[in-house]
This record gives sequence, C-alpha cells and structure tokens, in this order.
Amino acid sequence: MKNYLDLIPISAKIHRRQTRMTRWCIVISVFLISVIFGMADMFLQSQKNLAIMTDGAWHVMFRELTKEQTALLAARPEVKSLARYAATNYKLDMDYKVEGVQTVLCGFDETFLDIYPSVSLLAGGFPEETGEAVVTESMRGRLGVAVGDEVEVETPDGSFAFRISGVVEDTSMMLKTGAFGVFMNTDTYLSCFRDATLQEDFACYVEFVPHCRIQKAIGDICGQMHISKDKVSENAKLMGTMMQSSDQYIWMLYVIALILAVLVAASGMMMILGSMNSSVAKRTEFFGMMRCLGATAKQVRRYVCMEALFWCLKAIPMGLFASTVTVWGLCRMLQVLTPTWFSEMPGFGVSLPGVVFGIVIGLLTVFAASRAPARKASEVSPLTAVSGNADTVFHAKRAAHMGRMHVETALGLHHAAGSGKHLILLTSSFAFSIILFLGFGIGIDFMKHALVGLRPDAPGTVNVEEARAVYFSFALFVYGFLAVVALIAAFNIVNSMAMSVSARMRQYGAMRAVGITVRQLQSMIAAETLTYLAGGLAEGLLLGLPLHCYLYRQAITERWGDAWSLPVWECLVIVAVMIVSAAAAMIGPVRRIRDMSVVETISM
Amino acid sequence: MDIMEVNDLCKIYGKGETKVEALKHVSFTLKKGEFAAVIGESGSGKSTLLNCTGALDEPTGGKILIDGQDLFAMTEERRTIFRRRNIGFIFQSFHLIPELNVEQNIIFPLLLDYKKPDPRKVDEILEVLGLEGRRRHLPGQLSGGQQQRVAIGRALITRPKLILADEPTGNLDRKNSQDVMELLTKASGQFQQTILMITHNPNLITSVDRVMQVSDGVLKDLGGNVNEKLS
Repeated sequence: MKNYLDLIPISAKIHRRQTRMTRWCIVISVFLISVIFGMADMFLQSQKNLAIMTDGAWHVMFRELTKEQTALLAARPEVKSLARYAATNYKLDMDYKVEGVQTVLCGFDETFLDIYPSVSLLAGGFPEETGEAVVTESMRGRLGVAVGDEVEVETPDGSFAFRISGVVEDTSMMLKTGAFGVFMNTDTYLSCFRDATLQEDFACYVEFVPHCRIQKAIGDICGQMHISKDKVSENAKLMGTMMQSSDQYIWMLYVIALILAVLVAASGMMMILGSMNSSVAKRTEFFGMMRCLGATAKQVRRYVCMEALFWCLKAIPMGLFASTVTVWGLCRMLQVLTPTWFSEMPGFGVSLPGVVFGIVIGLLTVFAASRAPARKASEVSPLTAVSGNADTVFHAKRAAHMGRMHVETALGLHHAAGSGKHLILLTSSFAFSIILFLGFGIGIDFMKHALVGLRPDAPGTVNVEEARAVYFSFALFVYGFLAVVALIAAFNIVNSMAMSVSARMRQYGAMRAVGITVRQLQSMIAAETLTYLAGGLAEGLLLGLPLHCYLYRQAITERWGDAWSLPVWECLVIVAVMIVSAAAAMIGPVRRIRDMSVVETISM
Repeated sequence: MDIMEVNDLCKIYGKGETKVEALKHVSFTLKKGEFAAVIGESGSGKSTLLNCTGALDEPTGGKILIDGQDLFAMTEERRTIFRRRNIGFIFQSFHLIPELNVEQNIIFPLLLDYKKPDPRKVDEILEVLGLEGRRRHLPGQLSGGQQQRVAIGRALITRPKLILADEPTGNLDRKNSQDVMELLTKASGQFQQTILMITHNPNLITSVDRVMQVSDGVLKDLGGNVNEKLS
C-alpha cells in the first residue's frame, strides 16, 4: 500500500457482501439510463432510415425559386445536394396520356435519385439527353415497352415523343390509380412542359451537410435570398429524427423525454444515496478509528467518494453490458414483430449515446450521491470508535413518543420518522418510483392517440395483421418499460428495508436479549415500513399527478384536444406494487431476526 | 432456596477437527440473594456459561432450571417472555436503546409486557441509581458510568429472579466501576437479587458472596473465601 486510499480495493474484497447492494443500485441506474438512451438512439436511427426510405433524404424544399436563386443556393457551402423538381398532372385531372392512360409527368435533376433512395432504376439509366425519359414499371408491363423504345405522350398542346432510357418502380399513388409515369431531366421537362406547370409545382429539394444547424441555415437562406417562409417546407419526419425540426410539438416531445430522463437519473441517485448512507452508517466505528489514527475529515470524505467511484469500475461496465444486450433483444423483437416500421432497426449495433450517457450520468450520479455520506463519515467523532455507542446508527435527537402505542410500534415509527433527513430520503426514493411510473404512463395514452388508425379494432384499418403487430409492439414496449419501473420500485423498497434492518441488527440483538419477541420485532419493522410506504405514496402521488397532468396536456391535449383526467388505473397499479413490495420487504428481515444468534449479534 | 440450578451443562461448537468444548459438564446452584462471580481467562468459557444460563444460547447438553422451570423445555417465544420477566441482563457495552430516554430504557421490559409501570417504583430505582435528574436524557447524552447505571436499572425494574452481568465494569474507569459494584451489591442485599457476574478483574470479587472459576470449560467453585484461595 502506498497511501491510505489503497485500502479501498482491499476493503471491497473483504466486505463484498456488505457493498453488494450499493453496487447493484449503480448497475441498475446505469442500465436504466443506458437502455433509455440506447433505445431512443436506435429508434431515432431506424426512424431516420425509414424516413429516408419513404420520404427521401432531403431536408428542405423551396418552391418557386428563380434560376439565379437556385444557382446561389447550390453554391452555398452548407448545401450537400440540390435537386430541381417539377411535375404536372399528378392529380390526373389533365389530358396527359400514354396510349389513353393518364400519365404523370415529372422532371428532375439526377441528384434527385440520391435524395430519394426509394426511387431507384430497375433498368437502364437516368435520361441525360434531351428527348429521353424513364418510364414506370407498370407501363413496361402493360404496353410491353423496353429501354430504347419510343413512347408518345399525348398532351392538350400536342404529342411529345421520348426515347425510353430506363425503367423505375411505380409510386404507391400510381399503383393505386393505374396511372403511368414519364420522368425526364429538368431541362427536357422545362423545354416541353414549363408553361403547363403551375408555379407552385416547381421545387428545389435540398440536403444539407451533416451537423449543419438546419434551422439557422434556412433563416440565413431566406433572409439573404429574400425567400418567403411560406415557400419553404421541411421534411418533418426526417428532421424530427435529427432533432432539427422547427415543429414546436416535436420539441415539446424532446423536452418531455428529457424530463423523464432526468427523473430516471434522479431516481437512480436516490437509490444509490440511500444505499451509501446505510453503508457508511454501518461503518461508523471504522471512520471513527480513521479519525483516531489521524485521518483528517477531508481524507475521510475523499475515502468515501473514491470508494464509490471504485465500485463504478465494475458496476458501470456491468450496467452497460446488460443494457447493450437488452437493446439488442428489444431491437430484434421489434424487427420481427413489426418489420414494416422497424425493419431499419440496427441488429447488433452499439449505441454511442447510450454508452456515453450511461457512463457520464452513472459517474455523475454516483459522485453526487456519495457527497452526503462522505460528509457524514467525516463528521464521525474519533470518540465513537472507542466509546460504547459505535453501533449507534442514527443518532437520536429526541426520544420516541410512546403515547398509547405499544413500545414496538412507537419504536418502529421513530426509526422511520426520528430523523427528518432519513425519512425524506427514503420516502423520496419511493416517491420517485411513483413519479416515474406516472410520468412514463403518459406513453400509454400517447400510444393510444398516435396509433389510433393502427389499433386492430379501429374502423377503416386496412391491414389488420400488420396493425395488430405495430400496436402490440408499442404496447409491449411501453408496458414493458412500466413493468421495469415497477420492478425497480419493488427492489428499492425491499433493499431499503433490508439495509435499515441490517444497520440495526446489533440493537435488535440487544432487544432480544432483554426479552423482545420475534413477533414484537416484526411489528416494529412493520411500523417502520408502513411509515415509509405512507410517506412515499403521499409524496409520489402529490408530485406525480401534477407531473402527469402537465405532460398529458403538453403531449396529448395540445395535439389531439383530449382533456386530462385522473390516471386511475396507473395509480392503482403502482400503489398495489408498492404495498405488495412493502409486505415482501418485511419477509427477509424478519427471517434474519428470527434466525439470528443473539449472542453473535450483540458481540459484533 | 435455589433460584438457579445448572446440571451437567455442556456446550460444544463446531465439528471434527474444529470442535471446541466450551463447557464441560458444568453443575452448580445459586441461592436467592446470592451474589456470585465467575472468573476465568479469556476463552475459558465464562461468557458461554452466562449466555446459556440466560437462555441466549442453547446448550448442547444438560439442564438449566430457573426457579424450577426448565428453560429449554419451553418454546422460543415463551423462553423470551420468561427471560424478559425473570432474568435481567447487564452487558459490558450497555446496549441501551438510543431512541429511548433514561426512564423509557429502564422500564423497557415492562413496556414489552404492555404493563403500565408503577411510577413510585420507577422513581425509587432512579433515586437509587442517582439518575433522577437525567430521566429525560438520551443515552447519547450520558457518560459511560451513567449508561451502565441505566442498564442496571433496566435489569432491576422487573424484580427478576436472576441478574446476569457480563463484565459490567469492562468499559468503565475505576470510580465508575466502584459505583457499579456498590449498586450491584446494594441490589443483592436490599432487593434480595440473585446476581451472577462475569469478570476478569480480581479486584471486583471482594464484594461478592461466592466465586467460581472457569478454566478450559470446567467450573470450579472457589466458595466464599476466595481471596485466601487465590493467594
């Protein structure tokens, strides 16, 4: 050993069991945060890929630009790709026909194929020459034409002949209506159909370079080139996945996600804090001895903080590993259940944001949680090590109030409520679980509203099987996450009570020696547990319901107009989970007390 | 009249190579009002003897009768209740309940029985212990000697048939040790308490009626003239 901090790994090896709970709290916190950010990242990636497939990779579309404006736009450094586009007869209400079949006419630059990956050539090449055009697959099939053949388009202004340079897939509109499509390069289109095209149907699709601040770029472009904002459209789906949308609603969803992420981090911190407090309280004599031997308060604080960070060395990688495997499993499940929506989910990808946030927030959470216990440890007096009250876990500031209660009930209530800070800490950690549950419960209402057309029982649902799969995927995801939150709540209660009892074992041993029965000790623990439970439920519902109301109004009322109502089922579920957990939390401690050797316990 | 009767008491820890015979066929009796001390070196088995007689630890063999009742023929709960009402414990480390004040700690065994304590008896004990002015104080606000006096009060409050004291002066200075011994002697004389005390301090045994020595698990009764025998 070179310095006193080298005692940390030695102590960790010997007191592995005692520190197990705290390490598990760190693992769970990191796991939760990493899964949330990992899944969010995977989801955004998949939605981005899907958006590109369905709506194209363009970010912004400018309408009715002049030639000069288009040239200036193309020359801007932040513009990666620009494609001119124009179309006519897309409503099939004009007399543009091939062999008597209504035909949509489009003209675009070759870069359009990069911007719209879903528009891919099945045969041949892009119509580079004047008089060339690509036709849709349905035209090839129904008219028996091929690359190199000529096709004649009949228009109100006469007929135009084009040489087929290639074949493309039909769009869904064309498939539905049975219309043909003839697509040419922009210059050919302008020379043939400029006058037949409405001004608003001339567009410029723009893809910006990566990491460009798109909203700022739009503002600069419009300002410098005097383009009116009503001539600008965004690819909202794609921009939303890139967190570049100007849509206030999308930003509100990001804010809601951030609030929930902060709540998860705070919940993790409360769990770790409670666990560390208990760990420090059990080692009062050790810290007193450190001070006896000459360690300064600062050194003791540093010891506790470094000890917590030492635990992170194993706990954080464990949490990250568990979260990565979980994300893989969830992605695979979504791919299998709903290939239509989630085919683009990465298979065995590692989410960098998930890992980074897991590590950073995990470390920050542990560091923040260790400060209070470190301060408490440094305040232990050297006398504590040599006096007979080193096992005084919670320094009583006032005597328990008996009143008409039995002594064991009075002591149980006092254990819970005797120290205001301890009571607030424990009830807050329980309350956080309720707040999280109610906060994430918004997901159920959001899902029901957002996927209303996809619900299997919704009228007009076209593909029931696919709709069922999508709906249940989301439901599984949301309910699964709520189940995890409920499990964390249960774990927290069981862990907290186990630690609270463990910290008082010597006291319970002495009480057993004096003559308290196991039944009376059970009543004592029950009184303590119920106090924490009641406080946690009250605090959780008092804070959770307004949060639920706020989130509901922002995410759902704002969009769909439905008024907020009390989430009865969510409240009933989480309250039931907490009550059952509290009952289960007493089983282990009571068994420990029943099985404990009084002699060994008081000799500790 | 014999308050306590120990017959052929044995206590074995472990098995095979790690087997330790902490007590070997120990037998003795204690009469009402007798103040007996058990001395012995560290590891001799004296604490094991105290723990078994106080029903804190189950012997491997033998019988322990307190006021004619076989302790280990009872169920665990009945034995606990019996211990609460009939045996008072005084520990070296006091083991007071930090959340209860002096008065509450003293009457704790009565509270466990859901009995309302007689205020006069409580006042009497507080006066004997010299703690009237501290009745609302918490253990954390008391000195070591005061805490041990509270522990003695807790042991006396139910007027138990037997008081077991495990190194009651182990954590105290000389003055406080003397005070504690005076209290115990007074309790033995004034309240006719039967006291069995463990100590390794030979200076304390001058106050007792009888001394027993435990050595390697074997009990030897040194009788009442112990100073002569030990010298």
